[in-house]
Amino acid sequence: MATDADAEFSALVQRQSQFVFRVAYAVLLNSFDAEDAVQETFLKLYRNSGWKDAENERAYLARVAWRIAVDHKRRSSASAVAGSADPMALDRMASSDPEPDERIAEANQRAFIHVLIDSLAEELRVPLVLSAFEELNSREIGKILGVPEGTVRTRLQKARQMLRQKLASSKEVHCA
Amino acid sequence: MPERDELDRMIDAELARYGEPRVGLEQRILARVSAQGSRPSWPVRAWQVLTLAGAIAALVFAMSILFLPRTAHRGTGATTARSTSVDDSPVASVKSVVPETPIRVPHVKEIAKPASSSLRNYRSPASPGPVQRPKLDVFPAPQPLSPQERAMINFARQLPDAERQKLIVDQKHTEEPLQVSSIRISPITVPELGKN
Repeated sequence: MATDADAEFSALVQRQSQFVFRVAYAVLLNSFDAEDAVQETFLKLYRNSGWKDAENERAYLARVAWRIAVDHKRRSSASAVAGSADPMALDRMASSDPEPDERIAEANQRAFIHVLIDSLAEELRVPLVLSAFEELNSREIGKILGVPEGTVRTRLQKARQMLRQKLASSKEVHCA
Repeated sequence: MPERDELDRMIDAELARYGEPRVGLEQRILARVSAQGSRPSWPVRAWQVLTLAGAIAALVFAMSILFLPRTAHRGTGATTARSTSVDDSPVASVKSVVPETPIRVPHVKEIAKPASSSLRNYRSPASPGPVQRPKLDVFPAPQPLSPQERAMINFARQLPDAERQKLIVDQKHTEEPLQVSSIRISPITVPELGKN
């Protein structure tokens, strides 16, 4: 990896690997599977160099990563149950001891929201995760997922509404 | 409303952190790409495949040129040897493929001559075709006189005419089939017993 192209690719990895990981994770809900998909994505990008001609680099990477993650999920979905197989998520949930420390309460709340996001249906979860990036608007997300822009907006509204309802209900339970 | 804003803020904050990879993801990606990421040179491979396919096609074409006329030549020769009235035979089917040319029986001298250098007339020595022989007007073919026949002719010349005619008649008699008179067998008479 000594050529200019390789240096350029190395910069791409440094720049976008975390973003690609989030896209893969939104589909697979498992850190290890997501990393496999990320490595596979960058391997494919290195071989075909299609990312150099892309108008929107992140949209292109997200599209490639999403397809690879979906394929990965199809291959390994026979035994895995989405959401419960990620050891990191379990770690986050494992720290739910009822200690009065504020930081721990906040961590628990974050972990709870994380689990709530994981529990969303994939068609709602993936656009929601992609919408967190400023470079991707509804139109770009629609291109990535192959759905109309209006469908993306509808799914985003529905996903946020469901998260709010569950968060609100959980807060009411805690307050009670 | 303030609570809704707070919920949205919490969701956005979590979405910003959602899916954090383990430390060292970039290094692992680059290591895997270094190990397995050999770029395939597709244009070169496609060029090689096309070259190979072209060479095979040229070889097949050359083989068809070499072998197809030979097959047609064999078919024509077989047609000459056989009766031309047989239409449903394999020879007839070969003949229908080969362009119509007048069938010519080669002369004896042409058969004796070595094959010409053209591919159309080329015939492998390992697989000789049917040999063309001229049709004979008299069968069996006339043979030179044997010494006995020559001696008989000389003998006949020395004889007078009457004797010579008798000799010729006798010669014809010898060539005619023998006439055997019918045999009559008389019934056997058994002598009566006790008459001795």
